[in-house]
Amino acid sequence: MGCYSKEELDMFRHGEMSVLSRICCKAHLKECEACQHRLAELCEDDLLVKELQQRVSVYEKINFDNKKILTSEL
Amino acid sequence: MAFTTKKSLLAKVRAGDEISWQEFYDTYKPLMILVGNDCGLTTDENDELVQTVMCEIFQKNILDKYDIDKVPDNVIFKYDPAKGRFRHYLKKIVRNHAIKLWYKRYKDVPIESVPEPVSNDEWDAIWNDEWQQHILNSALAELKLRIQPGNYAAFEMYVFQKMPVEEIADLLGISIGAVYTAKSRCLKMLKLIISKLEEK
Repeated sequence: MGCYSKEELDMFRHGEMSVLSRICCKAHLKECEACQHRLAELCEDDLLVKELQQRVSVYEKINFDNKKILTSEL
Repeated sequence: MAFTTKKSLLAKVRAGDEISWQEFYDTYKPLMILVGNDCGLTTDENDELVQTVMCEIFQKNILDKYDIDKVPDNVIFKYDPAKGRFRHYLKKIVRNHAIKLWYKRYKDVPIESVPEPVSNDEWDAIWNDEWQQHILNSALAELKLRIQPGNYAAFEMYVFQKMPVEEIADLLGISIGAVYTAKSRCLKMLKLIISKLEEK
């Protein structure tokens, strides 16, 4: 079995793979450092996603409040 | 698919390109307001902070002529790299004006009764935190211009609308794997943009 892409590993960790594929992937991960690394990268991506979710909402609020003020002035 | 190669404002600043009042205002107003909030300024004081900082940067008493939201495009600013890193230049100007506004609030109060404004260390922490936020926001705006619309839509639904992957795939008529691919591509590009924006 060859290595898994990031997308396949994303499907693996989100339970989107078939049972058989999941078993194969799990076995492969035990042996393959490159795939373990890719899986770790996905976990780092999760941190960035969380950071984006938290921080961007603050900017959206400012822009929204600003638009609200401008609209009320018209 | 043709991608736009529009430069980010920070890239323009570094290149010494002309930057319009409106572009600067739209980009940095949220940062100035967040910093002002963190320093304890009121909404009115934050508005004044934005105005005074803008006027100092553009070196024009432009607000006697125009509304701050409607300054014409020919009012421009060019950053001189000899002044050092733009981030530090802007930080210094914003801090000076924020402190002036703080003391202005207490102008009728005996000096010994005026509370201390934020310390230098506190200011640095506030600025660094809000600057990070500003970089993320700018990077996202650039990402939207550089990535295929379909990929960005999937990314936006996944990250900001927190929609289930199956729903995104259904809505966009793509596979679940393609949603994950779009997310990975966007995050990869986003990291690249962030690292460029943070370059010295």
